[in-house]
Amino acid sequence: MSDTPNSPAVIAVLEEIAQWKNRADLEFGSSMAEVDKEEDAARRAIEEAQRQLLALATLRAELRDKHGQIAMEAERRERAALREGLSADRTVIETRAAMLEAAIAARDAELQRQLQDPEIAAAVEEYEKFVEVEAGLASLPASYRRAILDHHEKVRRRLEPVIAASNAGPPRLELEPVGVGVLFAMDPPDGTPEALVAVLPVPFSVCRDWADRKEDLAALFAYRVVAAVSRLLGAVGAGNAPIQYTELAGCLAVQVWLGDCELQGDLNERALEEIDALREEAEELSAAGIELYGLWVRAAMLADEEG
Amino acid sequence: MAGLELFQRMSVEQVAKWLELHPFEIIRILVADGSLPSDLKLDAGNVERIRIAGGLETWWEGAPTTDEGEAPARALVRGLLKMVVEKGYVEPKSVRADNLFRGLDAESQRNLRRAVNALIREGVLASSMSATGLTVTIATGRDEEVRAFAADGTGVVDRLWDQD
Repeated sequence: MSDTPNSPAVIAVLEEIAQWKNRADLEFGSSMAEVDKEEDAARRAIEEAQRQLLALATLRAELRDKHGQIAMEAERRERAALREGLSADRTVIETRAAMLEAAIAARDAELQRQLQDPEIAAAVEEYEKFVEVEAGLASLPASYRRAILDHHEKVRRRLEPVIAASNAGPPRLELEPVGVGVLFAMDPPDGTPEALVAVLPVPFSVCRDWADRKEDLAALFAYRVVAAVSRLLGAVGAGNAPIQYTELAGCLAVQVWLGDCELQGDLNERALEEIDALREEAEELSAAGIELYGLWVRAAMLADEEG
Repeated sequence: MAGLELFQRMSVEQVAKWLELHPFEIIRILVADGSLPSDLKLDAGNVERIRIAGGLETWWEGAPTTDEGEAPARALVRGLLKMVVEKGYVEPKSVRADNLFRGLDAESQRNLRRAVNALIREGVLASSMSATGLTVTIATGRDEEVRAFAADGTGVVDRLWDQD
């Protein structure tokens, strides 16, 4: 300390300064404690938020996983529904095929009964004789041949109602119409198609065992779809595309390799147009009360389930 | 006395059996020809169209003659290749595949189908699809080998046949 005595006023000022600094120090300490407390609170909040973010990320992953399973489950259900639909439609066709066969048999029996009428029976006999000698007519003298042909024409006219009736379309069953579908799929689903498949609700045996089974409604249905697919291919410039007939869920599938073709036109639209045309043309389906429709599905839905 | 069939047109199945074709082939030929009747009932005119538009021929009228000691199945293949050569079916000219077998009994058809498949696998014959069905031809550059086998049973084709 200096030997120079301080004035009381200076001492007072210095004391005030010291007190002021003391108060400031205390305030600083108190404020810093507040800041530390706030900082701790903020850090805890951040940690909590991070925990929440982690929990949300986990939840998001779980939801995605669950959603993925739902998508797979939806595909599984869709695939099963398509197969059940095919099976149900196949049953409809087989049931109505049997009914149509019975109706045709009854009509043919009635026509056969009409053939027993003595007058008609005589005409039938003459008709039959003509058919037997028809191939040799060219070797006969012209006048003789003309006489035979004139006579045959008279016989044919007499039998015209029977001939017309025996070639008439199938009798109508007068049943409630029921819809059955042909499933179409393209692979790949987008871009240039490499393969086309049409799955018909008829048993594969119409293709494999055709020689051993009766040509029934299911067979005629298959002919119609094969014709529709052939027309479709011709219309899009793929007339020479290789076709394979395979079994899918017990049903007939028509598979076409399009990988070597340059398609012209919209395959989707043309396929449905062909089905529309088929529906108009197929008298036997209409007689059996079957309404045909075409449905495009994803190719994956027709594939066998994995695992 | 005759029944209704005397007056009825034929079913696709009846014509398929008659022509030894699958019914779906009948349908495809008639569609390609533009002459498929809308009621799917066929008459003689339709059958003639199938024959012409489909290029149907019957090549066999019984089993082929065998050389001394030659197995019947081998003679069958040689007989077939001889006909393919004689008829000039060398790429690009091709014949419908089922013509190769029409007229033979079931077992001979089976044997011949196996042999034809082997010849296609080996590139001696080539196959391609058309709107009226599968066609077959002697592959470009392989006709001399086929000719040699058809004539005297020698050459590459003979060895292929032995392997098969």
